[in-house]
Amino acid sequence: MTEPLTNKPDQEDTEIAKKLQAVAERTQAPSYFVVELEQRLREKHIPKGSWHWQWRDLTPTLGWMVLVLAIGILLIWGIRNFVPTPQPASDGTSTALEPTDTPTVTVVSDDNVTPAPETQGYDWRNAKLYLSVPLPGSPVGTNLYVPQEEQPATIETARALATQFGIAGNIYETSQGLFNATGYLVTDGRQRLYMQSNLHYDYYSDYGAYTYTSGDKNITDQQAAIAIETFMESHGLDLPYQIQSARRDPGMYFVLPLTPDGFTIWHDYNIPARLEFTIDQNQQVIRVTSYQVGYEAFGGTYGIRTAEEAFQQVLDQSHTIHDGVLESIRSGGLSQAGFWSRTYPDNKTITIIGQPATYPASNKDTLPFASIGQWTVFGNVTGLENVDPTTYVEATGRFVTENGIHKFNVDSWKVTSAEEFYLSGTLRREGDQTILTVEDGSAEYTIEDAPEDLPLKTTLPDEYLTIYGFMNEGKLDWYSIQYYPSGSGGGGGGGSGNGFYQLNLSGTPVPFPIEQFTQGNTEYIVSENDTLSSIAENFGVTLDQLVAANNLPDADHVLTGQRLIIPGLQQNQPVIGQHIKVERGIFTITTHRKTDGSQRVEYALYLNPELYPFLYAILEGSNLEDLQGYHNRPVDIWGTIESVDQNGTPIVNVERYEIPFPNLDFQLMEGTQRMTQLNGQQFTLFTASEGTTYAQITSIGIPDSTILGLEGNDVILEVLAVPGETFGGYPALRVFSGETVNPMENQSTDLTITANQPHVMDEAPGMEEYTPTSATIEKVELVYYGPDPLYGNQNGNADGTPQYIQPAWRFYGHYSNGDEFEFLVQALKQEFLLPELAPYRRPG
Amino acid sequence: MTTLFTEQTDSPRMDEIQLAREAISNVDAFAELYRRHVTRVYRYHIVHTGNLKDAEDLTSQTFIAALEGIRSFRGNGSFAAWIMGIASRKKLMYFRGRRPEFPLDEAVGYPSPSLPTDKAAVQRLQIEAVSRALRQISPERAEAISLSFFGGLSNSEISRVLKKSEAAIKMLVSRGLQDLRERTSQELEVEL
Repeated sequence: MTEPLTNKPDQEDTEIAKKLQAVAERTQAPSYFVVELEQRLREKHIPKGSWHWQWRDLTPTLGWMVLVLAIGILLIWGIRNFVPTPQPASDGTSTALEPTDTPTVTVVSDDNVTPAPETQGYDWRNAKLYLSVPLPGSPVGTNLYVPQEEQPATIETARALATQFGIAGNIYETSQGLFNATGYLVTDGRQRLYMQSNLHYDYYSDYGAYTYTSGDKNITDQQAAIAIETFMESHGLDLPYQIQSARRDPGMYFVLPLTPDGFTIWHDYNIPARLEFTIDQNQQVIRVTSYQVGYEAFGGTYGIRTAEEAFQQVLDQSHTIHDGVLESIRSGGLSQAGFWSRTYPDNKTITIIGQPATYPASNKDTLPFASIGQWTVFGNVTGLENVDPTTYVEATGRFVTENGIHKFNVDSWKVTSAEEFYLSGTLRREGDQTILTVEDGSAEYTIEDAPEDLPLKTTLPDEYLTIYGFMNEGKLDWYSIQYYPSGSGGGGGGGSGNGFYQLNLSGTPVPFPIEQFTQGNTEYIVSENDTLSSIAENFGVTLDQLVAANNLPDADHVLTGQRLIIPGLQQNQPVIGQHIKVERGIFTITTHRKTDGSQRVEYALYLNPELYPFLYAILEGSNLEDLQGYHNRPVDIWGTIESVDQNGTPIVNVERYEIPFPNLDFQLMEGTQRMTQLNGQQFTLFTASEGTTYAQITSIGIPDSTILGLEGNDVILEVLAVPGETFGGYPALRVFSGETVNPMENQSTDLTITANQPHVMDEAPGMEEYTPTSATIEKVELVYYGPDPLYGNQNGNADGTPQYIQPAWRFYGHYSNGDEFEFLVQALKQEFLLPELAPYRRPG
Repeated sequence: MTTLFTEQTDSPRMDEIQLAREAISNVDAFAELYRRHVTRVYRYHIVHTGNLKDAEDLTSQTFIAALEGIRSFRGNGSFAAWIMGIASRKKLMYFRGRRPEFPLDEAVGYPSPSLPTDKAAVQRLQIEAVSRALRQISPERAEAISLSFFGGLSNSEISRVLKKSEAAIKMLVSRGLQDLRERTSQELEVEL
């Protein structure tokens, strides 16, 4: 490619840029959506009080009675929930196709467990962590696997897989799929197989666009197991597997393929390598979507740590995130509570509307595959392939069913001006008519062919009834109706953890810094009332480490004034008792107004995280009231870290302060911004209208690289010009806020300085009743963890080796608020690890 | 030149470090961050999916994930970059076929929530046109452009999200614009 390298976009590119910007500017999220989401977020927000961190006894609290009860319950739970030895499905030689009465594969259920409240509880994250199953034993070693790049489907492999699924039909080429390679669709008009590769495909026994909603939400695990087993056998899916129910869509189960040594494979966010089965009310499998992983054995046996050691790491995750553990959380239940899809009778002339899709057949003599909306069409469809697939067409004709295949025979079609839309509102019945009143009361529509079981008189915002359809010449033509009671709707999730360590397969162990800690040692002077255990707990080290680091003869005996070496600390861990001096931290004053009318003033200091191990500290001291006028101004502070709150924020007792610039105040400056760079670091330059150019830094002193609007726009910034501060050869401005200037209005008179005014925060009602959510681990199992192939193999190691599929201990359970969580703990013994994290992407 | 994100960039980043810390324990602080960034997240998702329902779903998922993980925002980059990073990852998960109308394909449709007026129809057509156009250039370039124009991120913020150098981002955006111009300009008939 010989494209010229340009740094400046030429004129026409600027045109395109302006167009994009114009479209973007005019796009706003619907206001009902913004409001409703804010409401949901508020409800989800788990308030945390700001009490100080208490000394905590880490031993589980059990009374004798509870102990007996707990053992009894553990025995019962153990029998019910302990993961059974994986049983492979039939070996493929059986020819029986009738469902057997008892499935040979049992369903391993993730979420039918109600934790017994009296089982062993560990103090954890200011609440309790319960382990409701016994920790399993473990093999001495496991395999390692190497992910294999999957081969995109070809006509031959598509035909072979289709034959395996019993589809005798035509093959069509679909547009670029997930891997930018041609995908294939094989269909006989009723069954459809969309295939990207042998590992990624989507099969429908009777295609419907809303099949994912048609699963039976009342199906039992046993019925599902029978349906799945029958299907696997009759469709040649000969692989060892385990079945697990999936909560996301009704009637959905996961079939988890097993590695040769009998374990399941997991990716991030609690997602396994799997085949997703959807089963309907007739206990038929109506959809199978394959998300499998290709791999080959690396060879060798690799020692792993026990479940107990892994569990200890989960306990250590209580307040600080450690390496070698991945955590994910997911909330939200079923996707929706009610769904109806429009169906039409056969042999009646009607008009359907939808977006056209045509795929050429691989055999040039065969007509292309055509669909309009969710329906397969044939007949007078010439020219449909030339229509832009994002426009809508309407087709007049009749539905017919031939050989069990339901499709639409087109008499004529045309591009339509019908508008697709959706409406939310309430339904009512008048006689035999169903009428929709739109949410804001502005209109009413008749719903033709309304299903009988639609919910009537639903009320917002607790219940959302939404109709999707087309408006054609004033008439409402619906195609789907969805019902969401409050609390359902798309769930969300998150994750934390820094990822796993890189593997060391050289055969020579590499020493780790003491117990994963990465900083040097620190000294601590023992004060009155300290004990070795309390000191160890305070610094997040174990008693053994402390004793070892100090060669103490007696683990119980320390003297006041004695100097102890604290072995290397977790990064960013503030040290209690440490004296600190902060130069030019940004001092802030926040008044917290409580619901009972009282208020509390909090003083805090924001620090440059590049210079200090923490970003933020809470200040205490009687002399702080003197600093009332210095909100958001730089202050020098001398003090001692007294304690750490449960968010990890240090609380500093201020012994002395100094105000370096007593008269420093905010200014409003007008000018323009542009980007520049120094030594590879980008930052923003601000040129004031009077001519001086400044480097922008943030309130806490980090080089700033934000631009308001586009480079060159007129902006007004609210700044602190701290005397003597420079960056990159320019005088520096600490920028606190800013706005772009609209030349239509004279804005300079409207803006006022607000950054010097202390914050006022009103405490949300209900904080006082907060109860911490406890967590219950319901399943502990050894699994393999590997990268998700849908992301491509982007997480390779620096030396070019891929991320291996490696053993991990999986802890799965629920918080008491219903959110599900998962911890994956790297299981390989340290001798097979490098003290370096593997490259990894996660939020945060 | 008209302003791009008036409400959202009143105080870009500067006091967001403070807000994010307060958001751990105070729901109003989180709500403030939400209000400042919901539009950029939504715009990013809708230009990518071309579909209102999916854009709403992805926007919800993005903010719920941000709420769960708010503690991990350390202020060593802008909040906008942080939340767009989450949005970008949520978008990747969307294409696993969670809710396809046309499995393993992409449906582009943008119903407007009320009786369509001319203005709403034009708006919809424009977003569809952009969405379509972006599909015709390389995904990397489309992503850089989406983050820039619709997510409203600076090049340095995009480099944080995509983990590439800023020079690479600049290249992706400018080459992407070039591609858009060469391949699709007749579709992007937008009134300026």
